Amino acid sequence: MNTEPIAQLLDALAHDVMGADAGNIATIAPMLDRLAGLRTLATEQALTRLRDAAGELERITQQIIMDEGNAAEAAQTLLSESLAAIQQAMESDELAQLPGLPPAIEARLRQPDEGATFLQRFDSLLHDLWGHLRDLQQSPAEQATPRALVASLAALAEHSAVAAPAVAAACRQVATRDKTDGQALDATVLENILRWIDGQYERLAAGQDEPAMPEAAAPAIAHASLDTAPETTALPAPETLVAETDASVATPPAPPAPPAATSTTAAPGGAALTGDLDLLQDFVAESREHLELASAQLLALEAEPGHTEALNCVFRAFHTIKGISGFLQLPEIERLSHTTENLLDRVRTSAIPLTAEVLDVAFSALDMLMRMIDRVRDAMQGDGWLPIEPGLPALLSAIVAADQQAETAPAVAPRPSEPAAAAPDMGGKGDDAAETERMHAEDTDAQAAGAPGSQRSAGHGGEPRETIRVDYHRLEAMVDTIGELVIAEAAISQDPAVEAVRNGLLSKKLHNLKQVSRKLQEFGTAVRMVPIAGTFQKLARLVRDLSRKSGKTVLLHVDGEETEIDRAFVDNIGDPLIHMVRNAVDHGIEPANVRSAAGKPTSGTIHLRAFHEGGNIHVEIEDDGKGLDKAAILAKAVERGLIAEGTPLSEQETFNLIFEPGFSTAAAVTEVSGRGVGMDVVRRNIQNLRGTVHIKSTPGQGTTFRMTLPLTMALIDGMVVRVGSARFILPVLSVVESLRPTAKMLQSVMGRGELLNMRHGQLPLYRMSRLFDIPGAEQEPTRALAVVVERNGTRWALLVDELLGLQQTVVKSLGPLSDQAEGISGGAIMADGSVGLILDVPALIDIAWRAPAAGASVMPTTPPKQDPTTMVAINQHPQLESFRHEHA
Amino acid sequence: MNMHDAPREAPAATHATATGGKYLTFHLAGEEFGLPIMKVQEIIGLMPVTRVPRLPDYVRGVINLRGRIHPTVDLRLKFGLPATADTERTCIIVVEVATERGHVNMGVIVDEVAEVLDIADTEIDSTPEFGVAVSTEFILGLAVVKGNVKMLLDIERILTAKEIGELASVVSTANAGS
Repeated sequence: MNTEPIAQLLDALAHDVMGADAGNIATIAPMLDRLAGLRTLATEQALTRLRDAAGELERITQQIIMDEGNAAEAAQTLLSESLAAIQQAMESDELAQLPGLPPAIEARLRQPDEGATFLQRFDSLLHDLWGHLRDLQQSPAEQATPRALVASLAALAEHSAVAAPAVAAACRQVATRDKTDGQALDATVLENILRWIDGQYERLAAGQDEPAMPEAAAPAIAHASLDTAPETTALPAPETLVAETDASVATPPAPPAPPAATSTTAAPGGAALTGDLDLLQDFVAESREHLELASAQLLALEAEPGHTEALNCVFRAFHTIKGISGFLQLPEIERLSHTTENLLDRVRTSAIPLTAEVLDVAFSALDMLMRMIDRVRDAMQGDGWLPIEPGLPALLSAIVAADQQAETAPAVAPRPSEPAAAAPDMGGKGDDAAETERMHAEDTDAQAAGAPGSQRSAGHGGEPRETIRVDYHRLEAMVDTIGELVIAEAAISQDPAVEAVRNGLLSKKLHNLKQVSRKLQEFGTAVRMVPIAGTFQKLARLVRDLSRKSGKTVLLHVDGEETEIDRAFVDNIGDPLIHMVRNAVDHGIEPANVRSAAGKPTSGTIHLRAFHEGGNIHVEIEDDGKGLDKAAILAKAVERGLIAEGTPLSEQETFNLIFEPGFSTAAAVTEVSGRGVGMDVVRRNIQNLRGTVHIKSTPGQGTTFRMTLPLTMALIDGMVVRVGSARFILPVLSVVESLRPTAKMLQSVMGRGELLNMRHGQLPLYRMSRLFDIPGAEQEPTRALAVVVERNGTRWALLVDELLGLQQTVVKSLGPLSDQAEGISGGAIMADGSVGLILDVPALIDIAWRAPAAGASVMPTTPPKQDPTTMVAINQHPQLESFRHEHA
Repeated sequence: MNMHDAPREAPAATHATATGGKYLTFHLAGEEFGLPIMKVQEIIGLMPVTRVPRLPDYVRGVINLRGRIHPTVDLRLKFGLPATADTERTCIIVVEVATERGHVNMGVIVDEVAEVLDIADTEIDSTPEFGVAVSTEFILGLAVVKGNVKMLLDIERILTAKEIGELASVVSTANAGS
C-alpha cells in the first residue's frame, strides 16, 4: 500500500491547520480540497475508517467556513487533533484501524439515521434496477445498454460511492460495458450482478458497514480485468460473475488520478480523463446546453428576483451537471456544481436572499463550468489529460463567502442589466427598469419551454416539443442526398426524351415527383435551422458584463430571437456579433453624464433584431450612442494611407472605411469615434457566409449595423449566366440589377477600362470573359448583358453574354480545388448533370482590381465613386423580385 | 480479386518504392504506366468537364459523379506531354488520394486503360536511373512484364505536388530521357 501521497497530504493539512484563521476563508478553503483528496485516496486504498474520518473532517472544515466565530475555534481544535491522530496511526502502521480519533469524531462517524436513509435509497435504486432488468429480459438491447438503465446504474454508483465502493465500481463497470467491449449488456449478466448487489445490500442492512469485502478488494475491483480475475476468485467480485457468463469482461475505467495530488501542489497539473468517451461526449453536449439555458435564466432572474421557475431551472442545471460529473469522475466539475447547487438551494428554500453577490458567483460558476467542460472536450480530442482549473479554490471560497454575506444582506432589487452599485438609486429609471423587466419576462416565457433535456423550438408558440439529438454530419449527408434527389428529378423531367412523350398520366406522375422532392428539399433546409435565440442569449450576457465593467447603464432589447438561422451560421456569426456589441457598449454609448448633457436618457439602449426579409436573414445591432464621426474616420483613413486627402466619398463609403484592414488598429479605438477593433475581421467573417454588412449612423443619435445573410449555406439562389460556352451562377444576394447597356451608357477610360453610366453615377464595367479568359464571348457590350453587383455597399457591373435563368441550387464544395479556384466559391450540379460554378463576387472584384491585364479596366486605388446606396440593397430586377417572392 | 495482394499505400513523404501486387495499367503518349489498384475507385468514360477559370492547364476542370464534384486532371498536360484530341478510348480514372484535408477523390484523364496486372516483387526494379519519361520522384518503380516496361506511378505525389515547377522537371526529364 502506497501511503506516500497520504503522508504528503497530511503534512500539507497540518501546515494548513496551523496557519488557519477561522475568520479568513482563504486560509481554510484549500483544506477542503486536500481533505477531499485524502478521502479519495483512502477510498482507493480501502481505508474506510480514514475515508470516513476525512469526510467528517471535511464537513467540520465546511462548518468552520460557514459557522459563527466561537464554534469555529472548537472545530479547528477538533480538526488538528484528528489530523494528529491520523498521522500517528500512519507512523505506527495502523492506518486501517485508525485509533485515537477524538471522541467527537468517533461519535460522528456512526450516525444511525444517516445509515437508514442511505439504505432506503439504496433499496429503491436497486428496485429500479430490477425493474430495468425485467424490461431488458422482455426486449433485449441490441446495440446499446438502454439509457434509463445506465442512468439508474449511475445513480446507484453515485449513491454508494462512499459507503459501498465495491457496489459503485460494479455499477460503473456494468454501465460502461457496452462502450468498452462493444456489446450490449445481456440480461443474464445483469441479473447476476443484481443478485450480488442484493447480497451486499443484505450485509449493509445487517449493520456490517463494509460489504463483506476485504480491504484489498477495492483496488482489485478498480483494476479488475480478466487477467486479475483468477486472483480475486475468493471474493464475490462482480467481474467473476461477469466472467461466468461472458468471457470478454469489460475493462473498467482506470482509477482517477488522485485530485489531491494536483490540488496540493501549485505546479500545473491535472488528471487523466478516465470516464467512458461516449458518455463524456454526451456529457459535454448536454452540459453546454444546460449552461447556456442556465445563463439565460440567470439573467432573467437578475431582472426579476422572484422568478421561481428561472431559479429552479438554474438550480436543475447545476444539479444535473453535478450528478453526471460525479459519475464520470470529474471531481473539479462535480465540486463546483455541487457547491453552487448548495448555494442556490439555500436561495430556493429562502434560507438566504438572492443578493448581487450570489448572482455574481453564480455567473462566475457558469463561466468556469463552461471553461471546464470545454477542457474536457479538448482533453477528449487531445491526449486525454485534463488540466486543473487554477481559479477553482478562489471561486469556491467566493461562493461560500457569498452565502455567508447573504444571510445579513438585503435581497437584490429587481433591476435591469446595470451595475449592482446603481441598484438602490432607481428613482429616475423606473420606466427603463420596468421595460427591461417586461422584456426579460418575454424572454423567459419563450425559454420556459426549454426545460433541461428538451431542446427549444421557438417561433411556434413556445410549445415544448419532442426532440432527438442527431449527429450533425449525418444530417449534412441527408441534406446533401436530398439535394441530389432534387437534381435527379430535374434531370428526368427536363430530359428531352421525357418531354417528347405526350402522356398525361406520365406528366402527372412527374409533377407529383417534383412536388414531393421540392417538399423534401424544404424539410432538408428546415432541419438545419435553429433559432437565433442561443446566439442572442450570449450577447445579453455580454451586455450585462460590459455595462458592469464600463460603469455605463445599458439596456438590451431583443426582437425576433425566434428567427431561425442555418446551424452552420451559428458558430460563425457569434464572433462578429460580439465585436459589434462590444463596440456599441464601449464606444457607441456615451457615459451617463454626457448622455444627460445631450438630453438623452442616462441609460443607453441596444436593440438586437433578427428577421427574415426578401429571402434573407437580417440581424441588426442598433445603439442610441453618439454615432460614427465621419470627419474622424476620414482623418484616420488619410493618416493610415487608405485614401488620399480630399477624396470625395459618400457617407456609406466613409463608414465602410472602418472595415478596411489597415484602419483597425488599437490606437484607432481611442482616437477615432471608437469602432475599429477587428472590424475587418467582422466583415470577412460575414463575407465568408456569403453575407453583407451595412452601416447606418446619425451623429448624436446612434449607429445601426445590419448583417444580411442568405437563408442557408446549403442552398443558393442563383442567376445562371452564360459567358461564351461557359455557364456561371451568380448569387442573387450580390446582384442588384441587370440591364442591356446602350451605346451611350458605355464609356471607355483612356482605352484601358470601361465605365457604365447609370442613373446615379458611373460603375466600372468588367468583362467576365476577360477576367476568366474565356474565348468566344460576345465582344459587343450592347448585345451583351451588364449585371450590377454589390459588395459592401459599393457597386460594379459585370459583363456577361446572357441570363439563362434563375435557379435554386445546392452548394457543393470543389474539394481540393476550393483554395485554388479564385473567384469561385463552389460548385452546383446543373439540371443537365454538369457542374456549374458559383461566382464569388467579392473575390471577383479583387481579381479585377489586381490584374489590369486580365480585367482590362480602370484601376482605382480605392473603391470608385459610386451613387450613394441605401441601407437595404434595392433589387430592381423584376424577375429577381418574383423569384425571391417564390422562394421566400 | 484478392485485395490483400494489392501493394501497400506508399508514404508520400519519402521516396516510395513499389511492392508486388495488382496494378491498373494505362497508356499515355505511347508509354505504359501503372497505378496501385488500391488507389483506383473506378474507371469512367469521358464526360463533360466544366473548366475552372484561372487554374493551370492540366486541371481539365470538375466533373459531377453521382452528385459529388471531382477535380479532374489531364495527366498528359500534368506531365508536360503534348495535348491530343480526346478519343473514344480516352477515359477518366477516379483515384483516391490522401491530402492534408483528408482523403479526396480526383479524376485522372488518360489516353487508354489497358488491364489489371498482377506484378510480382521480382518484376519490379525500384531504382530507375534514366530512360524514364517521368521524374523518378513520381514513380514507385519500373516493372518489366513480358518484355514491356511499365512505370508504376506515385499518383498521390503527382496529384498533390503543389508547385508547377516541380512538374516542369518532369517535362525536362521526359525530354532528356527520350
